[in-house]
Amino acid sequence: MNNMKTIFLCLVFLMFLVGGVADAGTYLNSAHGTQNDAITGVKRLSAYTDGHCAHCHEQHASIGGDEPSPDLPAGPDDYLLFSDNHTSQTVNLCFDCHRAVGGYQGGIVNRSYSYRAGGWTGDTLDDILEAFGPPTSTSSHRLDDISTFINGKWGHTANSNPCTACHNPHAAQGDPANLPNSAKTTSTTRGWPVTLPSKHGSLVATDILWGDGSGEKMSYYSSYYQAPYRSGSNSAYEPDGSTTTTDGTNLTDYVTFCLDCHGLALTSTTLGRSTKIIDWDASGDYHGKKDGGGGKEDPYAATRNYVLACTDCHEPHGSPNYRYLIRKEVNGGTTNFSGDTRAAWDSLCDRCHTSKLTSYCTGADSNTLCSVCHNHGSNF
Amino acid sequence: MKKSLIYILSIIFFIVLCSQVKAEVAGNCANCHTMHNSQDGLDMATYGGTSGENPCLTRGDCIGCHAYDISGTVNVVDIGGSLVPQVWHSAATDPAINLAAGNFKYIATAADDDTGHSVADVDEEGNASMFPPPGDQHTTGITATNFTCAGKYGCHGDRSVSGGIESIKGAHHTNDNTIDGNSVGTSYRFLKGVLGLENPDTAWRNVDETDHNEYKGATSPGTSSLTSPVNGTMSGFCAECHGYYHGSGTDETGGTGSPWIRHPTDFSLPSSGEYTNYTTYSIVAPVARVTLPETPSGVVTPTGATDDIVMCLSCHGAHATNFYKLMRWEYDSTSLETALEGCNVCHTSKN
Repeated sequence: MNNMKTIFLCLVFLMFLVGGVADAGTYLNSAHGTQNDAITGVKRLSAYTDGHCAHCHEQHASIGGDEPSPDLPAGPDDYLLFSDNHTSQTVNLCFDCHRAVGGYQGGIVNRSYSYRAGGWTGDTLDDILEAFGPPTSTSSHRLDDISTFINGKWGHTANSNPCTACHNPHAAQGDPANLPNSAKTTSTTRGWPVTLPSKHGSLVATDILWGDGSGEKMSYYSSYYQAPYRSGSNSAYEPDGSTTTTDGTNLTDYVTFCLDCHGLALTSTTLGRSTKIIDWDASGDYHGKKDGGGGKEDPYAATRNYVLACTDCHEPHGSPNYRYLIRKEVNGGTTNFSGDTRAAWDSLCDRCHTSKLTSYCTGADSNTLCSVCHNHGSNF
Repeated sequence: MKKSLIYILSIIFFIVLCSQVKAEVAGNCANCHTMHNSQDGLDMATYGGTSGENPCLTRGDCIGCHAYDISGTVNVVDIGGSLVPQVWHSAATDPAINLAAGNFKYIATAADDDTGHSVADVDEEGNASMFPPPGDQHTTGITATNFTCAGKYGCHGDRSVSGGIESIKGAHHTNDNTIDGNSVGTSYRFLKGVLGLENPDTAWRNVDETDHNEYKGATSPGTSSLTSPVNGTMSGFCAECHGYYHGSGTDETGGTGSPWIRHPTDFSLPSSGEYTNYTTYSIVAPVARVTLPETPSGVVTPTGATDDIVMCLSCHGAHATNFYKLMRWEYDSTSLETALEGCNVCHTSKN
């Protein structure tokens, strides 16, 4: 009987606990909104608690009769923001805080995907501004191109900040919270930083963040997902260093996420052409659902149709590598994708294909670039 | 026949009398006026601790009557049957008992200057840093020392007339059954040109979602002048002094739609997204109406239409509140949830 009472009391306690968590809304659970008091949210002005609207939005562009800093250029800004929303690849409201040095919040460190998921702690890139701009990053998502693309789509306008194509600033979470300068670990609570681009602005609870639902994982996208190794390891796997979870149940379905845009031919001012249409279905690329007969190197040694996530090879923001946002660390080792040379391509492809699939790649044409035959859309 | 005529005339007289009683200040003349400021050798113009003669033979100036007993605990003082709303009092149960515009007691000490309009009559130490009024589009000439309740350098009365009492002369005796904004006496709360419904249930207060004042709003801000509120709206009135926070010029709100560069006022809540969840009138973040209802309404319909107008008073108190920047809620709370309480009334997904 006492056990029953104990169980009942525990259930009541649990109900209140869960209820309390549920009270916090989308914003209060976001990184900008303190992730439910777990972290320091946005914090620009001393007058307000962290996470407060006023750190980003100035209701009158005036406090006590004066425009708070920054006030150059002087005057109010779009969306009541404290500065210009978006100007160029390196001048953007988000970068005013998301920079390791000189930001309005005393410097915010945000590491690369190779660092955070890949565990490559040798990466010196440590903030978002760097990720998007030279000299650190030579290959990155072009913000102006994104602005052009999203204008008129999914509730965006010509005034929309291109960062909001992927991130909802009122919902995006730290992954994990409060550990932006560390590799992800299985011992921390994961967060969900992105919103499916086509669900921008939706207030449906399941639409607000992408990756938090069970149907929004790589394991749901394909039962053939295999997590790559972490840097220098043959036992720990991306994205959180787990030694047991390798099936994508701990990874956002970045294929569906990225294909919201990259399922179309996009204008790329960097490439001077349209991007390739990415087809990850069974009739598309071998790295997708098209059956290529299996892999060769660990952890892709079994004979099965592996399906990759975009982030297995690409940085989401930008990379010091030559082009295509290729990661500096892939499947446990570093890459040196420094130009359109065979050696550069090999540094990437060898991470999973050290023994080439055909003699063509290693014979007389050994200097032929891998990408001549193997590229998105080539079906080869 | 004669009896019938008398009966009918009696009814008419009763109706007229009732309407006059409702509209004008009630009570004996001596409740408010003194002929010689002397009776039995004692001064009579001493309301609120004031002394000396006043224009219009009143027994006190604005603060004298409307801050009759700043240590008292009532929000309405009864002087011989004349009910006088108190803009400054010390009720222990505040802020619930404060008048709709708040309570000037919050700026009566130096530490609280940023919680209210720093009228010199109340703000004993002055606060020069807040003058001229922020957003002073029309060059009001208001300073820390001349800022007062009514007149040219105040809010109430005729703002083209110098002198507080002079600017409001006669308004208390005006039949204001119809608030048309054509005179001080027929304007909402004697704010000349402003329209509104003065709470008929609990006078001078906003109590709950169905017991409150109703404020006039518009679906586009327009531009007020120094002495005339555009569209007769409450926000238009604020713009007489804070014009750059209300107008539609490129140096003001930046147009008539998103992306706003200052928080919009006199604009209808959008009919989509998070705003559609604001359906019950909130006295924390109230809305104005394009068409004023005959009785206070608890309904808000965010259809981008007429009964869901964002206004200055959606966020701010008019006199003073116990919160930073005259906000209606504790905007500078160390609790983020508390700090966003009012924001979330409209921005319902940002909680």
